Parts: sequence; C-alpha cells; structure tokens
Amino acid sequence: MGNSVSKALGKLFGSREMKILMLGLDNAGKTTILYKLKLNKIKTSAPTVGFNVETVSYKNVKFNMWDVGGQERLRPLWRHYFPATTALIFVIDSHDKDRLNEAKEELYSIISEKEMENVVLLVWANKQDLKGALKPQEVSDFLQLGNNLKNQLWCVVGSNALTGQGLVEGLSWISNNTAKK
Amino acid sequence: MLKGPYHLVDTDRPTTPKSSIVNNGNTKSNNNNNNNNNNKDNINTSNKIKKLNGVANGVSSALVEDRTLRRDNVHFILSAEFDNKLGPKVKFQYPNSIPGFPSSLHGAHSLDSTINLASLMIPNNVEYTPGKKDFTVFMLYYNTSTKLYQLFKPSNIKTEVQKNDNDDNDDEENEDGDGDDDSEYIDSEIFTDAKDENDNLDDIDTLYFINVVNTVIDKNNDRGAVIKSISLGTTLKIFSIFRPVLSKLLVQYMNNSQNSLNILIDCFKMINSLDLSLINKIHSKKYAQLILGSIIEEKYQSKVLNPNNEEFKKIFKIKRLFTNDHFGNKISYENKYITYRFTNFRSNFLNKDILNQQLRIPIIADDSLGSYIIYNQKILRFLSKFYPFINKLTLQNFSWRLIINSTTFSKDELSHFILVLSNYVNSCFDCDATTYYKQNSILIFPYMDISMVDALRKYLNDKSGNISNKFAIIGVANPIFKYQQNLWDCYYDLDTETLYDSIEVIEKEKADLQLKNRPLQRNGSLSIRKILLKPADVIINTSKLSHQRNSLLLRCVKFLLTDDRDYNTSTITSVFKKVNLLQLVELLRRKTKTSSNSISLQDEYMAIYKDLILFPVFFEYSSLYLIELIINLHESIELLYSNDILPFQTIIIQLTNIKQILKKLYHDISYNRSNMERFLNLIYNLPSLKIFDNFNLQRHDFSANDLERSMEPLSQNNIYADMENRVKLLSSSWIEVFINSNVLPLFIIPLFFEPNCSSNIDLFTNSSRWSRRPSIGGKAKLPRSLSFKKLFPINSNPTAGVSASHVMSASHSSKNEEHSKIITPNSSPIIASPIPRTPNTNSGGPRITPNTSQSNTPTNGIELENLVNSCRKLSIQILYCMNKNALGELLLEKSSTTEIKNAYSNAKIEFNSTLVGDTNKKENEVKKSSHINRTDLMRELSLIAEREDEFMNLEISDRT
Repeated sequence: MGNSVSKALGKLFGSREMKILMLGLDNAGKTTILYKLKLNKIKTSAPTVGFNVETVSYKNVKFNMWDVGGQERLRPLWRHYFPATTALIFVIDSHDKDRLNEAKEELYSIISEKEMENVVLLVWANKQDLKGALKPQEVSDFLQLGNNLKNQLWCVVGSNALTGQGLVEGLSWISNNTAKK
Repeated sequence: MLKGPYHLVDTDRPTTPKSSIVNNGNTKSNNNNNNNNNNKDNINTSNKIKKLNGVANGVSSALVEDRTLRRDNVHFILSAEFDNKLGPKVKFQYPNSIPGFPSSLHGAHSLDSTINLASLMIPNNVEYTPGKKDFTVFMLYYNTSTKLYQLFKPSNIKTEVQKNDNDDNDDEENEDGDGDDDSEYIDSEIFTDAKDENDNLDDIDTLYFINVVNTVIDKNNDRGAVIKSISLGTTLKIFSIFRPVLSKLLVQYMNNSQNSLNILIDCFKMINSLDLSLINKIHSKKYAQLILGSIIEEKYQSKVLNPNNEEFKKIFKIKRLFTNDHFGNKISYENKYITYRFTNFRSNFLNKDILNQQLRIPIIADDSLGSYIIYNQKILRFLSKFYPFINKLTLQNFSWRLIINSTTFSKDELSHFILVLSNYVNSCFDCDATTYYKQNSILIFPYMDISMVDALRKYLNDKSGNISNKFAIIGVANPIFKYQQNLWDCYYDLDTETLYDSIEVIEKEKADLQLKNRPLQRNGSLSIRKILLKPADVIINTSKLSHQRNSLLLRCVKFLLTDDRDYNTSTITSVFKKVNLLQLVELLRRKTKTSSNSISLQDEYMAIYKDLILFPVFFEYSSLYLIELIINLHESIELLYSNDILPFQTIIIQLTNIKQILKKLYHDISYNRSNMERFLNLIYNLPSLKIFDNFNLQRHDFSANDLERSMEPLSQNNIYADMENRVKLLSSSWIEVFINSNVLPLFIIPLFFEPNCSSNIDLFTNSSRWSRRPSIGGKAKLPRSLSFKKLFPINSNPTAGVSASHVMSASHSSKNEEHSKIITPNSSPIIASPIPRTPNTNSGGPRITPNTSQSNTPTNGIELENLVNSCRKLSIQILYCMNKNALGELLLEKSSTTEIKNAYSNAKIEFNSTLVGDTNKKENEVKKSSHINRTDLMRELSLIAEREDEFMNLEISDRT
C-alpha cells in the first residue's frame, strides 16, 4: 500500500526508476564510483567478482546501478545484463593509455548489440586526478563517438571517483536525457 | 616454482610429492592390520593399497575409461583463483583434468566449460566477506556418448525403472542369510559389491563437488586481495563430510604458495587412504536408511543408531565393529556417527591440524547435509506460496522452472537451502536419477552463475523450443536472473520471500502496455516483443482461478507454519510422507480398470495432486503391490467391522480375502530382507487409512476443515499408545496424532478374531482374552470386559459426536459405493464383496438382516472357524517375521500397547509349534535349490534351538 502511494506520488511529481548498467575494463574504477555515489565512501578492497548492484537516488530518480566486473573472462557475460537497461555508463581509466584501444573495442562491441541500440551512453573518463591522464575531450576524440553514434545520445564526462568529481554531473545528464517512464 | 594449470597424469615429474602412505606395500600393510589378522584380509588390503597407489601414480585417469576405481573416496581435487586480469580461472586439476573440462593455458584460448567450472568455484560477491570461508556445491554428469562430463544431466542416464530393478537385485538376500554371512563385512563388500557396482553405473555418472572459497586481504596484491578456492570431486553423496578437511586445507593452501600443489596432492591421497567401505555399506541399505529416517522419537533413534547396540548391528548386518579400517586407520563409534581418523598417513606438506582432522560421518546418509532446522520455516513459507502457483498450472503446460535468488544468504546457506528443499521435493539427489513427470527429471542446481545461462537455456529448451514438462530448482545469487524471464516459470526471492509468477509478470506488462499505449521500446528478454512471440496458449491459460483449494498437504504446511510449537525436520518429513502415501492410496482406490498402468502412476499422481513433494520409493512397483494389498485388507476388515450383521456368505468371502492377502504379504515379506524392509518402510509411513476415509483427497478443499476434530477419535481411542503416551497424544496437536498413526493395526486385528464366532459382530466381540498377560500354563482364560471397538480406532467416524458446525463437507458417496477391487501384479484380481457399506451402529443407520439359514449349520461353523484360525495364524506369522527384523521389532515395540504385546505373546504360544515348523519349512524351501551340507544342517539346527530359546526367554521374562 505504502509502496503504491509512493509510486503514485512519484508519478505525480516526476519520480522515476531506471536501470543503469556500468561497464568498463577491469580496474577502471566502476566499483569505486558506485560506492562513492551510494555511500560517499571509498570502498575498494578487492576486485569485483561478478557484479554489484545498488540503488542511488538523485533528484527524484532512482538509479538501479549495476556494476559488472571487467576482467577478460567476465566481459562475455556483460550481455546477460543488457535487458531493460535505460542507460549505459562506460568507465574508462584515462590514465591507462595502453588499454584505451581495448576499452574502445569493448565499448563498440556493447553498443552494437541490438538490445542496447536505444540506451543513452555516458562515458566517464575516470582517474582525472592522475598525472598524464587524458582529458575528457581527448578520450572523446579517441573514441570517435561523434562519427559512429548517429542515432544515439552520448556524453563524455571527466571524473574522479575518489573526490566524486563529475559523478553528479553524469547522473544529471542521464536524468535529463532519458524519457520519463 | 609451480605454475598452473596442471593435469598431473604423470606424477614422476619433479613436482611429485615426497610424502607417502605408510602402509605402502604388502609387508607394511600387513603389519598395520594386526586387528584384522587373517590372510583374506591381508590380501584384500594389499589389493586396496595397490589401487590407492594406482591413484597416486595418476592411474585414475582410467576412471572414465574402465571405471575400476569406484572405491576411491575422492576422484578429483581442483583449485581455482580469481585472476585480476582474467577473472575466475581453474588453476590445478589433479590427478588429471576432468574429461570435458580441460585446463586452458592462462586463458589464451579459454573454453566456456572451464570458465563455467571456475565460476562455480569462485562464486559472485565472494569479495564481500574477506576472511570468511564460503562453500558451494555443484554436480557434473558423465555423458556416455561423448565420454565427457557436463554441467547438466545427459538424457542417456538410466531411467528410474532400470535403476530400481538393479537396486532390487542388489538387495536380494535370503532371509536365512542374515547374520551368518556377514562375519567379514568388509570382505563381502570388496568382492561382492565390486561386481554389483560394475553392473550399476549410476553412482559414477554423477560427480559431486564440494567447494570452499575465501578472500584474503593482501596489501601486496595490486587489487588488494587474493581469492582462492579448492574443490573435491567425489561420487559419494555424503560429500559434505569433507567440509572440515577442505576448510583447513584452504587455509594452508592460501598461506603457502610454495608448495600449494603438493598440499593438494597430499590431501587427495590422505582422503583416499581411508577405507570407507563400512559406512558405504551402511548407507547403501536403502530401506533401512529410509526407515531410520522415519523414526522421529529420540529415544528410539538413540537405540538403533548407536553402533554399540545390538539393534544397530542387526539392522546393518554387522557382526563385529572393527576399530581399524583395512588400512589401519582408526574408527570410532558414537551415537548416530562413525568417525574415521587419518592415523596411517604421513605427509611432509600437510599441516598437523589437517592430518589430525577426523571424518565424522552420520549413520543416516541424509543427515550428512547437516541441520535442516534453520531452513524449515523458510521452506514451509516457500511451499505455502509455491502451491497456489503450481496448482494454477494446466497439464498442457505443466512445467515449473524455479529460480531461487538470495543476495543476503551466503552461498553455503543458499546451496544448503536448495539441497534441503530438493530433499523434501524429490528425495534429495535421487531426483537427479529419477523421473518426476512424464520421464522428465528435476534439474537440481544448488548454485548457478550467470555464465551458465546459455547452457541452461539450451538444456531447458528442446530442439522444437518446447519448454513444457521441464522442472528445475536452481539457486542463484544474482537478481539479474529475474530479467532472464524466459528461463523461469517461478522466481522466488528468498530474502524478501516474494514469489514471482512469470505468467503474471507477462500479464502485468501486457496490461501496462495497453494502459500506456506507448511504442514497443523495451529491450531484452523481458521485452513485450519477445513475450508476444510466446505460444498464445501460455497467455490464455493464465487466468486466475477464483478460488484455489487447499490440498491436504497445503493445509498441513499452513498448520506447521502457524502453530506455536516448533516442529523438527523429522516431523515435517513424516507429514510429507504420510500425505504422499494417503494421496497415493486415494489414487489407487479410485483407479479404474482403464486407468494407466503403474508405471505411469506417478504421472497420474502429479497430474492430479500437483503437490510438489514426492517420495519416489512409494511409487516403485514392489511398494505399490504392498500398498494395494494393504488397501484391500483395510477394505475387507472395514466391511466386516462397519456393518451390523452381514450375510454368512459375505463373511466367508471377506475372511477368505483377508486370508489371501495376509498369505501374499507373508510370502512377500518372508522371502528376503529387502522385501521385509520395504514393507516396514510402508508401515512406518502409511497412516491409518481411516483418518481421511470420508474425504476425497483429490478434490476436497481443506481450508475450512478443523482437522483437530478429524483426529480426535484417533487420539482418544489410540490403543497403540501406552497410558502416558495417550495423555501425551491428547495434549498434542493433530499433526502429532497424525504422524503417530500407522497401519500396523491392520495386521494385528486378525489376531483378535474370535474363532467361535457365528457372525461378523461375533468376530470382533472380544479381544481381551489375548491381551491378558500370558498364563504360565498356556492359554489364558477369557475375561470379556474389554470392548474390541474401544481398543481399535478402525471404526471411528470423524464426524461422530461432533457438532454440526464441525461436520465435514467431504464428498464420500462414491467411495462407499465402490467395490474394493485391487489388481495385484502377480495374481488375478481380488474382488471384495460388492455389498455396500452401511453406517455403523453408532450412527444408528439401517441394519442388514442376517441370513440365518446359512450361518447356523455345523459345517459352516467349522468353515468359519478354520478361516478365522488361518487369518490369526497368518497374522501371528507376519508379526513374528516383523519381530525377527530389528526394525520391525522396534516398530512393534514403539507402536504396541501392553495389551497388544500380551496378545502377541499369547498367540505366539498358541501357534508356537506350527510357527517354528512353518518358518523352518520356509527356510527349507528357500534352500532347497542349494546343496545342503553338514554345516548347513548344523546351522539350521542351531537356528531352531535359538528360536526355541527365544520363546523360552519370552515366557520367562513375562513371568518375571
């Protein structure tokens, strides 16, 4: 009953819920971002075995954020998390230039899937605090999203999971660019 | 430095451990087996050691090829770890790679199968609880076509019918063989069972893996933690016994990276250095295990489950308890457990705490899963939600693929929950070997990872994409499975105890779509586009029924949930078994001649009751034969007892019927031990057929019934409880009365028949003369004070004496009109009298006028007396046979009042000479085909002398 009232009020005042899928190579900072958003704490004692899922509320929007491990053998499993996704967040370690190409390939592999053709794409160019990290614009240029994603909304935002820089901006962009459901 | 992955087929490589088994070779083994100092033992020991050394030399790669190493306790030891770059990977496989799961070289060409294995060994979210070990369980099945193991059971595994046939053959032992042939139990185990097992390959077709995993925080690791796991693969269903060893092994394995492989190898050898043939023999006694599992009372459990007691030795045919196994390892015995110690194994690599670890193995195999208690309430709550779901299913689409998710339980708790539930649903792991509905079995997967989704989908969908008649119970720890909607019919969130019905989800989404009238834009398997691709009838058949009936089982589940008393696992299992049997009896009684044969009876049962809980053992052909005889016996006694005065000819027909049934039963149960134990298993679990006689269990809605009232007459008149028990029964809940009820009275009633009767009423006139303490001089005199009807609850009408508001609304007209016609497998139909039942004297119904012209002739009187005496004699023979069996003796002891015990003793005295004569005759018949030598004759003579002594002792004890 309480849940129904809450839902009704949510509809009235624009509250909504969406499933966000957060992917990226291993050690890109996905889990750190998730728990910075959820708990405002740094919680990175071990690599993610499988997945993490948390609900993060921001401006009347409940983001059900799925963070899936990025190790090589876990990447083929990402597709099982695609159903009912509203937005894809792809996290890139801006400092790990050696693996940028690998990250790009994985990103295109995801967004070329039929199930993901209607999702909005947010790229967090993470680890901006590290010296020598690529700037968001450089990451965007490297990914060539403008050339390749004609029918899909996308955005690259610089982020630092340790301080929380760029995280709220990213969620705000998703919130503003997804249809109210 | 050792680098994996390994297949260690050749252990001569430099990495071969230097440890050795102390009794390595004949000489040493002989020295170490002083306790078993006969030549035969030593020969067997050396054979066994040769086998063990074979394993140590990597010969167990032959496991799959020639299947000769079936006595190994474990067949594989594996380790896995989480690689920061690759993810979960299998590091070592010893003694060789599992066929079908080859180790890949550092993930360069990673194979799906190996990834699956690693994912099972390194479960999701294990990093959440660093320092806290977690366990998972998984099974691999051998595919005889591909000669590889696989995650899902292949279709070429033998069917239940074939399996049961094998079981029966394995169990065939002549009754007279008891006790005498088992002086060297281990010898017989090695020689005899080796052949049997080669005949029955089921055991080796499934490998059970128990896996332990842990995360250790490590600042030197670039990701801050190390995650590793170890698995043991065994064909033993009691794999949980290895948990303590495995747990300690992981600690050492994670702390010692230098000798990690040697540690694994030594542990593998250490476990295989035990000779578990004794406990394997105990666990292989299928019916004894079932019966022992049906004994609820602690005092009786302690009596029969204490290896130091004679009862235990008799049940498992163990003449002497050895303090060492064949390899010299110490064995100790305590109540309900046998403990093995690795006293004869030395290792340079294993820590002392591992070498000192004991294997404490429960005598009842099912107990190896550990305590169910913490899961009972959760399982009952699940069942109370699942039944309405399963009852909605139509037969055309009868299929339930159940996914149970929990993210708050540990994987150990989740796996345990799934196994316990599976045990309730379909007798645990048997469900992997038996069929559930229409030759389809239930897939049991205690913990599944998302990486197995594609394989699961392939397994559940046949080539035509048909998903009907698929059954699965799958434990997951990932809510993403909820989005894989085409994989499940029912999704249960264990954390919130919420059940989702896929059909309702579809309906809801469809309704939402119509409401919002928005374009189809959702993705994935939940997409409406995909839903609309489903067969139309799936959606059409989903309309909710206005009212769902409460079946008897659902009513019991709800009662167990709401009652204040805490019910233990034995009670809950007992309730399930009794309801299962009652419903089966109902089905057999209502079965028409045109109904399908007994092979499809289980399907018919499932189609009618959809009750989820099923005990396949009751559906075996031999059990059904016994059940049908019991039903027929009940019907005949009821007919004789329920009517006022029957025509003489009817009495003769019914008594003849009773005699025939008792004769068949006697022949069946006295033939061999397994028949007797099968019979006892039924007696222990089949409640009085009287209790729900007036209900149609197939249709009746029990939601409104006061079952307390239904049980009332039973508790008030329960002859089988002693006075203190009777008080206890009156103060206990109806469910306790229910589980204490059994059909033993049916076999005792004929004992009380009055030989000098002239009508069916006279037949039951008096029981007291037999229930007196036996007199010293022989027959007791006959005080006629006790009413038979008071002693036995067979005529108790649940509605009698109950106010109108409590009168049952059950439909019972048809049953009362039916003739009791039972088709027995080995004979022509036995047809009971077609005379309809009339209300008994209590209900004041119309009386049948007796045909006095037929009943008063002297010839008829003699005929009647002869028949009655035959029935009484058969009754005492059956009871005598039961009493000879330790489990039967226990049943008689716990279910009999003093009156019954006295009656039994009196009747035994009366029939003493004929009984001994008949039993010996029977034994002679059994032996007639074999050559009788002097030893056999001496044995027979001593057997007769023993029995005579028994009777003398009985008399003496009664006198004192």
